[in-house]
Amino acid sequence: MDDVTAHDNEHQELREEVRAFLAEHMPAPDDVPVDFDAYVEFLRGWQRRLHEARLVGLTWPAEYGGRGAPQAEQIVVNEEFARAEAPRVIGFMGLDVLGPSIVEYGTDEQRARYLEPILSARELWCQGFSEPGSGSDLASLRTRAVDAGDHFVLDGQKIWTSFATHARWCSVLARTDPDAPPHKGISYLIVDLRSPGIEVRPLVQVTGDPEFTEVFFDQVEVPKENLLGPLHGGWQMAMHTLAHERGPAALATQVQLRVRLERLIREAALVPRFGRPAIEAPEIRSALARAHIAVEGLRCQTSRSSAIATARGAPGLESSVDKVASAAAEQLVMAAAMDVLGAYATHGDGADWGISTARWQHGYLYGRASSVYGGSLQIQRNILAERVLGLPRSAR
Amino acid sequence: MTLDLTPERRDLLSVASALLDARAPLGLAREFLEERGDAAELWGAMAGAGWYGVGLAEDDPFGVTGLCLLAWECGEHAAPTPLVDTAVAARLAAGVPAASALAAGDATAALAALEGEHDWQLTDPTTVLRAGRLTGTKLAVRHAGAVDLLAVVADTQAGIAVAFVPPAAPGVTVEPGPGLDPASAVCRVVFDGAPVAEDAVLGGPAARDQLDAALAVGTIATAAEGLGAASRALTMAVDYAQDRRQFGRPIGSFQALQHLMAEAHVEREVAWATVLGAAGELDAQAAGAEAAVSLAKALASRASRAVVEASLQVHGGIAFTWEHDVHLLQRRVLECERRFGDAIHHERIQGELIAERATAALQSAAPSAA
Repeated sequence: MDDVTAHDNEHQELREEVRAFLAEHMPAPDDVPVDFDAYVEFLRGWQRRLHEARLVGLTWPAEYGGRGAPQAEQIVVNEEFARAEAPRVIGFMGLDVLGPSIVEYGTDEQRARYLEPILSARELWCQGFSEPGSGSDLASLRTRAVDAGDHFVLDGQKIWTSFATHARWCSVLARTDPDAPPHKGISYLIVDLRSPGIEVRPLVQVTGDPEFTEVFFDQVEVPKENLLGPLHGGWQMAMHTLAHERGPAALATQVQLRVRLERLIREAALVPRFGRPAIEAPEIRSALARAHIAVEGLRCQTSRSSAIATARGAPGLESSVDKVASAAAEQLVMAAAMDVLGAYATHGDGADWGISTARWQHGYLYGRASSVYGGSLQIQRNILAERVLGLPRSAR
Repeated sequence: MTLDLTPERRDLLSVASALLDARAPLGLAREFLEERGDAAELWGAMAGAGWYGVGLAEDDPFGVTGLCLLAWECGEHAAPTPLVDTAVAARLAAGVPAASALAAGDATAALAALEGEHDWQLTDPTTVLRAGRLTGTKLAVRHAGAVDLLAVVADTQAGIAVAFVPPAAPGVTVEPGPGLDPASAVCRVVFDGAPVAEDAVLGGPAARDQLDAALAVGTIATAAEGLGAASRALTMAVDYAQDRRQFGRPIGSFQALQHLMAEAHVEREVAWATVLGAAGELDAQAAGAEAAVSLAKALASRASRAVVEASLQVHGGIAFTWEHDVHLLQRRVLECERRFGDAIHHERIQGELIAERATAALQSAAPSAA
C-alpha cells in the first residue's frame, strides 16, 4: 500500500510515534465490547488516550489542545490507525465538523468552553440539521427558536442525528426569522441535550446499529450565549461546515478503503469461486482492479484537493468532487466484496475460510449511505453544476 | 485550478496555452481532417519554446509533470504534434551518437513500436535488426513522414533494441493513412532492409528496462493529452448549455444535463489528479511509479471517453455535424485512449498486480516448512 506521503521522509518521525503508541495501547479484538452503550464508552476511553498523546485534532491550534500541524500530518496519523485497524474515533462529529466551526466562528468563551472536551471525548457532539420534512431541501427547515430576552425557546424535531443518545451537545439549525427568505432566517445554536424538554429516541439503522436518533425539542430554553456566529447567519456557516467536512471525511474514507480493499484482496485468495480461489477468475480480478483504481483515484484526488486547500488557505468547492469520488469508490469496493464472496455473500459467519462475511455485509449496507449523508450525490452534482461549472440555476 | 503546481510549472502551462491558442487553433486540426494540414510553423514554435527538451535535464524544473502539462494543452487544441513520441524517443537517445540532437531536445521523433500481434505489450517484435539492416512493418506511427527520426523497436539476436532511422532513409516506406484522428497522422511504416548505422542503436541487456521507463513517460503524457482533449470538450458543452435554449430556457438549467456535466467534471478532476500523482512519482523516481502510471492510464482512458461522450450528448445533433469542432476533440480522445495501452490493457495489468499481492500475502501467512 502506497502512502499519501510516501515520497517525503519528513513525517517518518510522526509515523514512528504513532506506531509506538499503537504498539503499547492498541486493544485486542476481544477487548472491544459488543453491547452498544459499552462500545461507545470504550471508544470514548480510546479517544481520551489518543488525546493524551495529542494524536487527535492535530490541525487544531495548540492553545486548544491540537498541534497546529498541517493536514498532511493528520493524514499520516489516520493512515497508521487505519493500517493497524485501530478502533474508530468516536468524536468525529466534534473533531471534523463542529470543532472547526467553533474555532472559526466562536467567541473566546465558546472556544474555551467547548474545544478541549471535544478532543478528549469528555463531551460528544451531534449534528441537528436534517428534519423529517427537510432533507436535501435543508433550508426549508421548520424547527424554530423564538427570542425570549436572555434565551431562545426552541421547538421542533431533528432526524438522522447520530449518537444523540450519548452526546452532550447538539448543534441545531433553527429558524429565528420566519419572515425572511428561507436561507436568511436560520441561526446556529449550541443546545445542551440535558436541557428540560428534550426527548431523544433511538432509530435503528439498516445495519442494525442504533447510531441514529430522532431528537424532539419542546419549549427548550437555550441561553443566548449559545448562539454560534451571527443571528440569522446560520445557513452560511452550515454550508461552510459541510464543505469543510467533505474534504477530511473523504481523506479518512480513502485511508480506510485502502485497508479494507487490501483485506479483500487477501481474502480473494481464500474464498473459492468456480472451484478455484476467487482471485484466479478474470472477472473477479477485473472487479478488484476497477475498485483498486477507484480507490487510488480517490487517494490522488483528496491529496490534490488538500494541497489546493492548503495553498489557498481555505477549503473550496472541490470538496464536492472528493465527496462524489469517495462515495463511488466505497460502493465499488463493497460491490467487489459481494462479487468475491459470490454465493456466500449473504451467508452468516461460519464458512470455513477464516473470513467474516458479516463484516462485508455491514460494509455493503453502510456503503449505500455514503451517497446520501453529508449532502446526497444529487446535491453534490447541483453544487458542481451551478457553483463550479457556472451553469444557470435549475428550476426546483 | 493550478494552485497545486509549482510557480515554474504554472508559468509553463500559461505560456503553452497562449502559444497553442495562437499557433494551433482547432482549425489546424480541421485542416488535417481535410487533408490540407501543415504543422511546420507550429513545430518550429514548439522547438523554439524548448518543448522537445522538457523534463530531460537533471536540473529541469518541469520534469515529467511539466511534460504532462504540455501534453494536456496539446490535447485541448487537438494539435498535430510530435511532442509525446519525441519525449519517449529522447529518453532512449541518450548515449546513441546518431540521435544526439534528440537527446538534447533539438529534434523530433516518432515511436515506431506497435505491430500486429502483441499490441502495446510490445513483446517479441517481428521487426528485426540483422547485420545493420531493419526489416518489418510498424503501425500507428504518428507523423512518420514529418519527423526527424523514427525510433524503431526491433528484435536483435541479443534481445530487444531501439534503432534510430530517418524516415527518408533508403528502404523505409511511409504509408500515411487518414486514421480516425487525422491530426495525429498515424502511418504504417514498412522497413525493407533499411540500413541502420552502428552508432544509431540502443541495445544491450538494459535496453528493455530503458524502453519500459521511456514508455511510462509516454503513457502518462498520453493520458494527460487525452484528458486535455476531453476537458476542452466539456468546457465547450458548458458554454453551449448557457446559450442554447429549449422550452424557453437555457438547456444548462435542466438538471438532467447539469448532472451529466457535473459527473463529467468529477471524472475529469479525479483522472487529472491521478495523472499528476503518477507523473509526480516518476519525477520522484519512486518505486512503483510504473504501476501508478498504468493505473492512471486506465482511469484517464475511461474518464476521457466518458467526458467527451457527455459533451456530445449535451450538444445534441449539432455535434454530429462535420462542421462542428467537438468531434476533432473526440477523435483525439479516442486516439489517446488506445495509445500506450487502453483501459482494458491497464486494468489487466492492475489485476495481475493484485493477484500477485494476494498470492504473496497467502504465502507469507502460511506456516513455514521449518
